[in-house]
Amino acid sequence: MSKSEPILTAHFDDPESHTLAHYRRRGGYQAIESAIRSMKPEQVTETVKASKLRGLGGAGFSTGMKWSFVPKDNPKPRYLVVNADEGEPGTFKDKWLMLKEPHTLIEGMLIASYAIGSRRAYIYIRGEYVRPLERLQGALKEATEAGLVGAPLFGSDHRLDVTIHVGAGAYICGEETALLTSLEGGKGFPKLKPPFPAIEGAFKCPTIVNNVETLSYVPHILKRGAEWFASLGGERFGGMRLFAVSGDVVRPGVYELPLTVTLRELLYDHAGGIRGANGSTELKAVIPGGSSAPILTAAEIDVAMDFDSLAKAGSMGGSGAVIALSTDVDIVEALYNVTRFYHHESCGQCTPCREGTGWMDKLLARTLAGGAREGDFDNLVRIARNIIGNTICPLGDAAALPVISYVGKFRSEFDAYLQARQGAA
Amino acid sequence: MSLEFSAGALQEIEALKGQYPDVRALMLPALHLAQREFGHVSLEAEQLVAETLKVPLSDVHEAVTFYTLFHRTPPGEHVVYLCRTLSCWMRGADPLREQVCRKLGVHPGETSADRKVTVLESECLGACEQAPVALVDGDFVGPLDSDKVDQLLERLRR
Repeated sequence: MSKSEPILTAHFDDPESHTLAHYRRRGGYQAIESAIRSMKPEQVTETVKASKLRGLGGAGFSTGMKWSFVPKDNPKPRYLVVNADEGEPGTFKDKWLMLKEPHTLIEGMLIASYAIGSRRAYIYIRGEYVRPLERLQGALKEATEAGLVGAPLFGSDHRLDVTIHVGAGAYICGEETALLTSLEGGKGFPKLKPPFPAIEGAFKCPTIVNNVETLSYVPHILKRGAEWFASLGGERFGGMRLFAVSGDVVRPGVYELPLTVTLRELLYDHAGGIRGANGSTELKAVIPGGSSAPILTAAEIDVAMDFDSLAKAGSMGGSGAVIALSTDVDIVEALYNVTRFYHHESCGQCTPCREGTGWMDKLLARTLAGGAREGDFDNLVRIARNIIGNTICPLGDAAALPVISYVGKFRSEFDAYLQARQGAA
Repeated sequence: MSLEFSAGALQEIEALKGQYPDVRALMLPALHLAQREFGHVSLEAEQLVAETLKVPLSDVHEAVTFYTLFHRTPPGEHVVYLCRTLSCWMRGADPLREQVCRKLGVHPGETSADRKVTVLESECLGACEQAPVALVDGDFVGPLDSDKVDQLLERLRR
């Protein structure tokens, strides 16, 4: 059981966990001190690479690898940007990290900035997170007064200045290039990659964008070693992650577990099993990695929650947001809700996404209003397939993948709308 | 122009200028400040931001209309965002929104006649563990049910 001892959530129950004094008492800011005193920046990057820490915002890319992409010979300033624009439906873990462990995040930022040679960091936090913002501001003030932020660190010439940048309500800004456009003052339009932000990001300078949870694991990795973190996971991934479980479960909430946990264990052993809005205790389907993730049926939940296993199962680990749907839920209505969301949040830059999400939204709305027509659901899938791969950012795919998987796995529920209409006619 | 930033707000803007390599990056911070100072971001406030940052008004207008958290008309004393996305919808957000609107005599996006409460529909607020959830003056309130909605509205209209 020691393998699944909580790391980031270990002190969530302590009402003082967000304070500098509490953080110091449990060894806070010792990892950055020993990194600066005894490690070269490249060694820090190598350690994080060896820990097999992967980006926990959604993409699951190797964090150490990402850091190593920052060009050594570019004289421009380098920026560290924290993606705290948590907006993928079902995701609420970073909120709790900022509320409960803001100093862990700040220490993770100090370490990352040392590794990549950045002296200026921005935390881009969604505007709806008013209390988490206040906690961050408080922690930043404490860290600044203690000489940890905005001052040379531990006798070295490394210092990091941190600015909190508050978003203003736009899901798309969680996508890293849109986040950077937004940070620069524009509306949140994603940019084509390459160039990747590590080469040319914020203000046309090398920029590393990391998620809150990803950075929060970094101090622990330095303290306890890359091998320890790697050993918690599997061959291609290290550690644990915070699963945000919601929907039709008895105990919705954040569960920090090894990535080797199965979806069944997560739902039944940790989240207390299934309870629908109308009392159903029977699972119909699960979305395992935020609303963009293809849906899994109740028969497909014996799958480990790591990125690779979920990809093999035809879905994705994404942001770690698990949404359970009981038999109380109508799949067609659920897909309409998800599709309407992506239509609303499409930034409008790419035609396939802007138009495609609109048509899918309209078609599903018509179905629910009793107007399903022969061929509608094939059309729906066809529209979705024409979005995939044809847009600048992944929002298009995020809108299309649910459509394809819901219709593919629950076709009879869709056809029932058509039959009901034909029966009525 | 009659609208002016307070001395404190101007000071904040000056301090922020040193934190970004390009003044255009102050767009969202300045708009948030404008909303804090004036309660909403009117066209006049957009002009003020444009002049203060020396950026085209069209860029400011583009930002204000792209993001959802800027009030373009004066909101009521309390602002209630009601989440409508998947987890909240599954747990009954739709009927609760209808209840809120019926009780206040408004449609989503409107303010009650007594100017106490503005009701706004929102996409996922990041509080699905409290579904169905509302964001009320910066605090998450949930899980809501019919009784709690009544209590909430009573508190806000006091």
